[in-house]
Amino acid sequence: MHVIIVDDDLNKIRQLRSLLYEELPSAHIDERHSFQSGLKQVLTENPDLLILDMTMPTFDIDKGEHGGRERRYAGEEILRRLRRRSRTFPVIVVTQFEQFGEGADLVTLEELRGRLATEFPTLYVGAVFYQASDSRWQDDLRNLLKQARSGSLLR
Amino acid sequence: MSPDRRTRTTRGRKLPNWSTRTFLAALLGGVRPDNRLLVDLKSQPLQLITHVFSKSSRSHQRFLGPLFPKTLSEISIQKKSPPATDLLSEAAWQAAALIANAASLNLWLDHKRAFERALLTGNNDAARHAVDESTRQLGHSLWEFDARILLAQRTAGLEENRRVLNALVSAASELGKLHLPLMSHRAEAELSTEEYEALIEAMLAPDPEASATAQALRSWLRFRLLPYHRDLEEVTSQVLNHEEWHALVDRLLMLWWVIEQELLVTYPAVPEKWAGLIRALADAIHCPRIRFFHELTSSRSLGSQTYSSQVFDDIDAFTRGHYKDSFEIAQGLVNSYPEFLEGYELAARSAIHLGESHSLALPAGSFAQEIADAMASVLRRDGRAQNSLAVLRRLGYQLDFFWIGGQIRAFTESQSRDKMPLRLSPAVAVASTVATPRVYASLSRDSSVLSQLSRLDERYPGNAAIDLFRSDQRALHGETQTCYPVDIPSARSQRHQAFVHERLGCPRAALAIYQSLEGADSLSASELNDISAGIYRCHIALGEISLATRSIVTRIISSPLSVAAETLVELLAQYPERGDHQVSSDIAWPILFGIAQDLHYIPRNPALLHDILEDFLNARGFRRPSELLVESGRFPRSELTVLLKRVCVPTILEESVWYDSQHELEQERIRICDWLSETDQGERAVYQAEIAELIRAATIRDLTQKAERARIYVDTAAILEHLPQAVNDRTARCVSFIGLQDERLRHTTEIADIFRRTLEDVRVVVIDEAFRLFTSVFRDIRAEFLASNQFGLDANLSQRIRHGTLAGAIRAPFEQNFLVTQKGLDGQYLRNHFWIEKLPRATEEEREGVSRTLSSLSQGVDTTISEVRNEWIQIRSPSHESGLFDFEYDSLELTSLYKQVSAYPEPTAFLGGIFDSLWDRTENCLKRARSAVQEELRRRLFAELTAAERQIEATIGHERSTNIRAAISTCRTQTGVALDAVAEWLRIDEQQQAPDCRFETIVASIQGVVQRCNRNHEIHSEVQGGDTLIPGRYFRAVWDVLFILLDNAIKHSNAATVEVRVRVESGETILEVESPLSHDASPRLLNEAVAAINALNSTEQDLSLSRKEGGSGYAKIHKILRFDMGMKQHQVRVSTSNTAFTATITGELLEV
Repeated sequence: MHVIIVDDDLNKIRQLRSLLYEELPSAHIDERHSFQSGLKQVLTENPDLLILDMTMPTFDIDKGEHGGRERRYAGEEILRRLRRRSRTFPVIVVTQFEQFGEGADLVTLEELRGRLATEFPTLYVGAVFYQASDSRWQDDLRNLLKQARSGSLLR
Repeated sequence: MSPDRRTRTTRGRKLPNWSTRTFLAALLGGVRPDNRLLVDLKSQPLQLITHVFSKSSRSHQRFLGPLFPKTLSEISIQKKSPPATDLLSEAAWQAAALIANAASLNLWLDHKRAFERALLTGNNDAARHAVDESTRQLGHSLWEFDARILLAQRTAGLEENRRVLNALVSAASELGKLHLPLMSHRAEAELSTEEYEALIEAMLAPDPEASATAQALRSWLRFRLLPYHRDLEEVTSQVLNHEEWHALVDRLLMLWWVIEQELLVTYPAVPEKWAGLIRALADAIHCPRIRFFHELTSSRSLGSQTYSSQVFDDIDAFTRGHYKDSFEIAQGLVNSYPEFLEGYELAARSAIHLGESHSLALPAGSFAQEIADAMASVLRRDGRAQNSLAVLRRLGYQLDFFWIGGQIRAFTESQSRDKMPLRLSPAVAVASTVATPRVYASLSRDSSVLSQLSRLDERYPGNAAIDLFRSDQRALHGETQTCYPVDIPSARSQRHQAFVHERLGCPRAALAIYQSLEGADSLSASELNDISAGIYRCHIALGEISLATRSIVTRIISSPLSVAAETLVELLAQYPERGDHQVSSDIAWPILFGIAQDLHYIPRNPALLHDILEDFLNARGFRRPSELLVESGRFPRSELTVLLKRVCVPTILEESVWYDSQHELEQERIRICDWLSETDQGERAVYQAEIAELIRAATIRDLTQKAERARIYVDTAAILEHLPQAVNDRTARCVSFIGLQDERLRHTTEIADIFRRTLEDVRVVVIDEAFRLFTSVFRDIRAEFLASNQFGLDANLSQRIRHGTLAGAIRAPFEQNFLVTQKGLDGQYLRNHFWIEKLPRATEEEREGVSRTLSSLSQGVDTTISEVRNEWIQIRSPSHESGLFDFEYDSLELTSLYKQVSAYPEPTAFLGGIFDSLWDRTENCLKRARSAVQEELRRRLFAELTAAERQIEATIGHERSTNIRAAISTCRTQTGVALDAVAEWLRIDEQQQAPDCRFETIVASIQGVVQRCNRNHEIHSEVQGGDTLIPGRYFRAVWDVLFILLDNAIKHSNAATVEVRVRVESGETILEVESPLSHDASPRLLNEAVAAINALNSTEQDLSLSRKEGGSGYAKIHKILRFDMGMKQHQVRVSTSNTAFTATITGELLEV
């Protein structure tokens, strides 16, 4: 099984990897750290499961690269592009934000969950709220992995 | 029976004659009729009310308010009759009052015409005389206020506008003061329609708690002040009744606007009572608008026969293709009747056939010339067309109280549609002055048009336009062998026939005609546009989307405004949602989506535009647009150019997966710009400037040492670029108001909470308009700076600091040393197995004690992190009182900033001053935040560690706690390092502001850009003082100055080697650029240029040159030195010797 994690927080990726190895011992896990590199790999390789952050820089940040524009809804944009290309593998969003945007544009995580479920029914499995200090996200993610399996979304 | 009792029993029914007599007797006897009687009277037929008024001409004024106010304070006093039960009754009541005073109104109409003609043609003295005479004979009115303020604005600009406003306000009633400042704003030359509308909408925001009276007042104000949004739905009898607060002449204007709306809704089935009302008014009052309405509803012409017959002569000549005659007649029409639009339009349409040299001879700088120029530009769809349309929209507001105002508005509105060639939109038709064949054909679709055209034919026999439209109507109504006039250009007749086929549902036949006309030489550009539009419509009707797309893209590339908004939007809706290989392979689609977004026909959406571009590239087997360049021959050159220029820009390309970095993206755009500058030579300078900007951005990035060091930035350039037009307009106005020398002229009035108060309790507050605009602009800019989702500080703090990485960075040393755990499902921290298992000899109680301590440490660390994230690193606000980013400005700070930015004479520098202040504030906040992280946060975390260390030692003893205490010590050290790193995040990102760098480095990078822009020249620079360190904040400015100087050296002297020197003497920085003189340089021209450059200084007038393109660029250098670098004293001198040209800049640069 091929899993891709698209996230720019290396600490979080380490914890995600650890949990995924427990739950999916045979999985081959790749990681990408930006909107561009993530989308490119996902479109090219069609993974069996995508673990997706919501907010990311446009390009990978490294010594000579600043990362370009920070994208608040990079994850949602990736989902939109996958839907446009008729991709159907399961996608689990793991975010550290409970709300996005400000003022009139403010969207809570709950509202975002509803929006993603409506907009991307063939891709979206669910969204997990991740906190480094709390282990509850692990159970939430396990549940979503089960859900993906039982719904036959996970090949 | 008393009148009172009678009205109770006859409400809503016609009063018998004896009741009228009773009523009249009561009035003449001085009895004031009560409200119920007045309401009953209002429900009576117009003739009866008119009879009552005419019999009691003095006494009826008691309940109609002052018809001809003699003092300013009489305007807007609250003395009026109760509103009628319905709009028609109220209209009849108002009409009766007008008819009863027809003689006075006709006198006023003469003054109004004289005023309009004079002001439109720039004869301000005559205009003033007309208003003065009107006021002397007929008293004051809102019309007079409007006229005087607009006249003042045209005579001597904003200053005079404000002076007249102040004089009027000082004598006006309280409610009058509500209207006056808005009239003043409407007259301003710099106030865009968007800003004006925003101003009115803000004032009239809906208030559900407002009383019915207040709601009616709001509707009345909206109807009067927002003519582009007039809506009959909003006009009730109460709204119309409000006009009784004003002079009789204002009531006529209001009734005109109401009838216009009524006709728009009901024509041709205008209810008889409304038609009767129009007829009665038209018989008594010589108002051209009312008389036109009467002609529409009755076919009886009462208007100016001379004007009508000249218009018919003109349309006859135009229809026959006699454009020179048509133009000359139109010139005569505009000379004699500048107050009506028909002449301007006929002149513009004829001129298109005659060539651009033909334009109306009108007084320079007059309204008439402005209208004629803008209209010609819009109809030609030339490069200024969009701007010209904005000019006309503004004139539609400024001239609302002119006859021509409504015509201009209708014309601008009609320009977004091209579905009705040869027909007018109903709004244009109703706003006309003469009932032409086209007006009738536009307003009605039934056979009545034919009879109306026959009547016109009797009046104007042999008129070609009437014959042509009659032929259309006959064909439309089933006459199969319709003959079209033979003495008109065949292309015109064929266009009519094609359109008739379209309307009869025969697109194939129509298409054949349109296609046969496509190559006709005799057609003007606008007629060819009409034909292209017809071809498009026919293809769409036949389901031929691909052909329709081709026809549109060809047209839109030659003239983007030639395709109406609704047509383009309709076509774009045909694009398959997920693309389609065959459809998407047409280069037209990304071009059309790009242009539609640029013109704001559809919302700007880079992701969508990228989708369409990607579909096209995929369908053609490409990944990146630059790959198209290799096979550029496969695409029409003009289409590929537009695609690369408008669509393949960095904001769209960054959506692509085929660029791995910003650098790759920029290189791609540079490749595209290189190709474009060779292909599209006319725009070469634009592409080269873009290349220079891309290289500069890349240079700054290369100069940055640590990409991950600083994390704070606000993209002020992007904020400025995306600033709503309204804020830009407000800024421009603010700068203009600050420029008013007399402080009193900046005063304006404001009525607070008008809709929450009773109308008797209105309080007027005097405020400084310049300061009000400044605070408004400051709040907008601050809001963007802090809260812009894309570019603002809070988004930046959220994403780059508060985002999980902050918690991760602080928690990392604790996790690495296994000192903290996570919370379990029960919300309690998990047991720390790592350390507990390392205590084999410990009792269960000791283990429990250590576990409790480490849980407590976990809780302490997480609580602290949470406080930092949720309380400290926040913009201070009522919900974040401990936020370290405090951007509140008290009144003293605001006033101080206002004084500071008031020195800037132009909007960009003015906004720059506000941004500078916000940056200074950001620096201060960051300093506090760094201090909080390095001191308070460090103290707290260390205290947690110390407490844990002591507690563990106390629990298990010194020896057995050695390992865990060692881990705590390591953690303390690592935490210190981590906090230093976090503090470093709290600096302004030097990628947005370059780091300090050596002068030599800047020269070297600029040399590369200049070289790139001037490929045929080799350029070398010899740098003296290259080690001088230029502070990062001056990077951009120094870059710009050097770029101008080096580019000048290449362009003006063909220099191969340029010497660049920088040194510091007596605290002043001296920058010199010396280039050898060209052999063929003319000493005389050179001396003239030197004198002109040295004569420039930092005055406002010279600085205004900095916004212009071309020239030597020295005005720009002055602007950069003064505003971008903040030099108070600076000198720019150029000199020549026999062999060299030297530019020397001297000034005090901080920190060098």
